Amino acid sequence: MNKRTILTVFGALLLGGAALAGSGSGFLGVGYIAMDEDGNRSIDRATYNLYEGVQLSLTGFRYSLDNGITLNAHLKGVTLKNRDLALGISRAGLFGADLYHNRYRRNYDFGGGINSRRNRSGADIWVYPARQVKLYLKSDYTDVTGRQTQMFDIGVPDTQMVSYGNRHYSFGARFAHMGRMFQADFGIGEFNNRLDNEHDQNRREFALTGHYPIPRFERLLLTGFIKHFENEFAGGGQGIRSDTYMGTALLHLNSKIWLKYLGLFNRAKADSDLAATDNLAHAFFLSYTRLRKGGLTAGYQLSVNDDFDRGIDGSAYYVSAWYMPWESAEMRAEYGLRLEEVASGTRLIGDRENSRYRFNLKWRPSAYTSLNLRVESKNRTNDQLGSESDFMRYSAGVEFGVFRYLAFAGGYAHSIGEYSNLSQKFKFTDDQIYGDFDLSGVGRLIAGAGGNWNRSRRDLNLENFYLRFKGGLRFADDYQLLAYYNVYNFDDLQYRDRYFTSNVIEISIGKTISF
Amino acid sequence: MRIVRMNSLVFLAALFRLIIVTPDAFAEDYSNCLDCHDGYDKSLSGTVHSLSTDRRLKSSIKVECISCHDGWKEHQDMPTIENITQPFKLASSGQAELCGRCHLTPHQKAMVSTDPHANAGLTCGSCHTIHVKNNAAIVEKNDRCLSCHKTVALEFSRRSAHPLNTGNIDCDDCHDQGSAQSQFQKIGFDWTCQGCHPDKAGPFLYEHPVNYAHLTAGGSCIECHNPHGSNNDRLLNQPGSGNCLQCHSIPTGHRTRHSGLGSKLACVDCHSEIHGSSDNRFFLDPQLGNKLFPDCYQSGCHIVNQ
Repeated sequence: MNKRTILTVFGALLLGGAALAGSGSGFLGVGYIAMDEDGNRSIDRATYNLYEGVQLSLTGFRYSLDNGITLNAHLKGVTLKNRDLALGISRAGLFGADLYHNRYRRNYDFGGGINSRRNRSGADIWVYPARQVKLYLKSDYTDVTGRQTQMFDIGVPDTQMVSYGNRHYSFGARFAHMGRMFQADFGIGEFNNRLDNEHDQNRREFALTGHYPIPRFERLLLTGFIKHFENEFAGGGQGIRSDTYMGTALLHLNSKIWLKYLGLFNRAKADSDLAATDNLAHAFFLSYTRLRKGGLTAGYQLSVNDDFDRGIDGSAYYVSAWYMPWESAEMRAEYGLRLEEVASGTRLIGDRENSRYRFNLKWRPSAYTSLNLRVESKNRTNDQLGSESDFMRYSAGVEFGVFRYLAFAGGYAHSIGEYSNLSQKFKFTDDQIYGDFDLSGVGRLIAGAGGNWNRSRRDLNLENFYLRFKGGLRFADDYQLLAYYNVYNFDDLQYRDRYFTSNVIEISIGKTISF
Repeated sequence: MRIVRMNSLVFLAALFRLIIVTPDAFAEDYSNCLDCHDGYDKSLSGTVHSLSTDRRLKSSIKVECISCHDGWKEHQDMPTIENITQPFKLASSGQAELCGRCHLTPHQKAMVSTDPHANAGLTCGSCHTIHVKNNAAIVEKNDRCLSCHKTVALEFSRRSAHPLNTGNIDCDDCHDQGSAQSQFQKIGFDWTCQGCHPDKAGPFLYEHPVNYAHLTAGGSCIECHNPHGSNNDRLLNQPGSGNCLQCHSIPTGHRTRHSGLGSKLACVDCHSEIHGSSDNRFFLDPQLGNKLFPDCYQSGCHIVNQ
């Protein structure tokens, strides 16, 4: 989408809004972004996609015509290369269309000269020929061009060109009535590598979904899903195919207890492997809920993975509970364990055990204040391989506000990670602090500040922080003068060339428009 | 025969009426509600639930207070908080049923059947706020997820991360709340990562099993990458060869031959086609002979792919 087209749409929205009979609002802003950068441009992803220059934006635009048709727009950074655009028109229950486009740059070298650009565009269109029937069409196109470096390249980075496009189109129909739903989807995709046509690919997928409460016994809800998927080389016919069949039955025994069964079968074939793999799973859940008081859910899953050469049996256990001792407090706990055992044949990673748990405590004494404490853990063990990963995180968050005048949100997280195998260990300890306060509700004044600080130690030695400040003034009813100052900083204390600092200032003037 | 045909037509007409025609349930005017609940219409303006102003609209597509708040007849006669439905206080199944009168989508179906959020006791109202002015989507993009998943939000502020904070992607791009398979959160049979990174997807002549394991046994990309954010380059869980050594040991020859040269380099320095190769089964860089060790190959001692 070129700049002239975007500016034409931009102008048409504003002029059209004033000329047509209807009502609407939005925020129109114009400003300038100035940047001062020092250090390695490839080291801190937060600044990859920032550009210096004049910025023009129309955000939160929504315009309703008297006949019920609504136009909406989010046109951010229209004049810059990182523009993020979305346009929509809809009439509730009748039709709608959305268009979107955004751009992203990824840097790979110290100076930022080696980079790749990813542009993504798409459209969704839908129409209701009858209230119960929705027909829809979706398209998405991603285009990537530029140069990349290879991973961990030795010495001087070896760069390689990248240039590909990936298209995906899908259309479908949905019938929904009286709690019953049936849907059919068909999609095609195409990957085109402009530098190497031998690796172009085509994808096709077809899916049917159904959702059916049993008539006269609507406590039983049945859901079914069938999907066929295939991906193959455009030239050779070699490919990957899969068929998935899934069904669930949800039975509400009474208003507090439900029982759920989930069954899944999938067969996947990769031509290059000359083998097919089957996945079969049965899962059962039982849940008890006492409204606004508490709940308990327990589940078990049995699964089989069989590729005719080896068989993997899996068992998974799940339990979760939540409890509200009083209206303002809530406790949640969750535990999951998955055991995989090589029942026949061998596989490289052998048996495997995954477990995780999470405990969360939330206290909300008033509408503007809350406290949140959380502990979470993830663990993976492959005994025969001698490898293990362990992750723990403790975090606390607090939010408070003084009515609508002042709001603060902040928190701290401490994470410990350890990966071990027969050859080596990798350990890290992360500390992260974040905070934001906002004074925007005090008279004509707009003020706020915030930041993130990350520190990673042990086998890594990194520190990065991001500080943001904003200040401004509302004047003449609908106008705003705003200034933002953001600081990005990154230091890898083990490598001298891995540092980066960026100061970004944005000054803009905007008007809340209403028609 | 004619009687049979007539009966069939009557039966089909009755069936059509049963399936297609919605009872005219919302015939009353909402202005009565606003007499007491002044201003609540404004909290819906600019949203898809903006109260219908066109009185000529079919009742089936009108949006009125009583579209969501059941029990209005009793409430009108004797207004108490008990005799009118407050949707956000209903259990998940009750809310799904209520919202499902107009919006029956795979998302709702998944939320009451397969989705883990339903197991955790979340309801429609946990993410969707109805009475919020000018919020077209009823929920803010990403905010609805990150307001609970705060530690995930923190991961996006690490050195390498997917561009969520810059608005280039949404949580929904990877975690599909609308799929019948959403309990697998797209990272299953749907090729979540490959949708944006098809160059890493294959099929390859020589597959790295972990790269297509998602199609057969789950896992896949996240075995090596942390998609939310990592302190290592390219979202990797570990720097250097750490990821490789979780499943592989360094071959003896790499440690003994040529003064252990092979063990002094990172695995992917040579095995750079690690997502899969169309050239050789060891995923070696096709240019390795020219790039690193010309003597090894040009001398005739080694042949690429052997």
